[in-house]
Amino acid sequence: MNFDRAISQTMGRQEIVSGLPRATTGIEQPVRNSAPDFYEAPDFYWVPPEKREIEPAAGNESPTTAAPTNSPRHTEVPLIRKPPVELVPRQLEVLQRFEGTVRSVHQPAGEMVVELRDLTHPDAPREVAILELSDVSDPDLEMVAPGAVFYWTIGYEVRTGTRQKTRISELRFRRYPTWKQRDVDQIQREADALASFFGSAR
Amino acid sequence: VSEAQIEGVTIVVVGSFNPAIFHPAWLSTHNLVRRDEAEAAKVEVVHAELASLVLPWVHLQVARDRFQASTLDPAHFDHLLDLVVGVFAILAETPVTAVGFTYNIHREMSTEKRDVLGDGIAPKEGWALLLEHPKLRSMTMQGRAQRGADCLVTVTVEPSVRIEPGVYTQINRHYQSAERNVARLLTDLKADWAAALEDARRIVQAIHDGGMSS
Repeated sequence: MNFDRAISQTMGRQEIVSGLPRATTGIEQPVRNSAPDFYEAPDFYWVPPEKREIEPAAGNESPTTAAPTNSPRHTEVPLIRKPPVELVPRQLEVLQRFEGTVRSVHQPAGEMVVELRDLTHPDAPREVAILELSDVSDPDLEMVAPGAVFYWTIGYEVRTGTRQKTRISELRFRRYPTWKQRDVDQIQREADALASFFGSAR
Repeated sequence: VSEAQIEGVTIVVVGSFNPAIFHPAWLSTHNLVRRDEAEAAKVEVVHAELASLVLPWVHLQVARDRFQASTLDPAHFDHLLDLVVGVFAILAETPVTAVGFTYNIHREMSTEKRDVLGDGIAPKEGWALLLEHPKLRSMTMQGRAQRGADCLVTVTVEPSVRIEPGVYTQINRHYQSAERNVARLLTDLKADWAAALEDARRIVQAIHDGGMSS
């Protein structure tokens, strides 16, 4: 697409528009999205207020709307450039995804018996399977115990640039905060109270 | 998917937070992330006003009035929910007014197909009477969810600035609570999670396949 450089006025503030198209239909490249760019907030802390490329809130957006990940990088040169720290996107073609629960662990055989729920086809019946402990990544091995829940993703990972596909199978255990003794005691007290209530009502 | 795409999910919690506590070591100590991930975390800032840290699969940003967790790894969408639920199981007294789920996708698309898509969601006939060469730069549509929980859904469609040529679509589901109860809101989000993801992908598919013009 052929672009011309142009200058426009938006909300009383001058900004550089990256181009105007010659085509006549469809969607055109936005200058940026309209929400305040919380996602890139750390960069702004090093830029004087009058130089910040942040738009006023439109006023009619949902307050829980995530900052768009579609914003171009800032065109202003900040006083100090902080190196951006960003998540690396991962292109994954998920073929199948399970939620599994460990039923039992057999350390000598290096296996665990698990119950699988198919998240890709939620109506499918639950299945019981035997998985090798070597399929579990080292940092998650401490989580392997009866009752532990994990996600099992099977699919293709597509490498950026070369578009090379690699088949992947990933097990990852669900993590929840460690129970504290006071939480266990509190639950015990509530259970005792309920038992007492139903016991006395009988 | 044969086209390049970047797919992500973000959970936003609106309330009153203490950003200074959000440190990788805190997350690891409470068993919310793996120790190796906490050690590999890149901390942009941890301060009384703002915390921003990037772990291998999640970006956490916390200001005094807003908590945001994002991932760009489809294998970790469910872990993102677990992480947020875990954080607020620990910080159970946090006053929270709203929770949002946002699905983002940048997908490669030829300019021709993108133009057809743009014409489908915003016909240009009327605009052509007012403007020369009208072009759609961004569209936001809002309504109630057709599937899952009864919540407000906001859909935004724009050309992608990350994959060119491509289209960016964002779907936000907004859960509000007058009770300011974080556990209640996250229970609602958890119950709606599978439906929210499925519905977001259904909406994206309909927009990208031209389902809007029929």
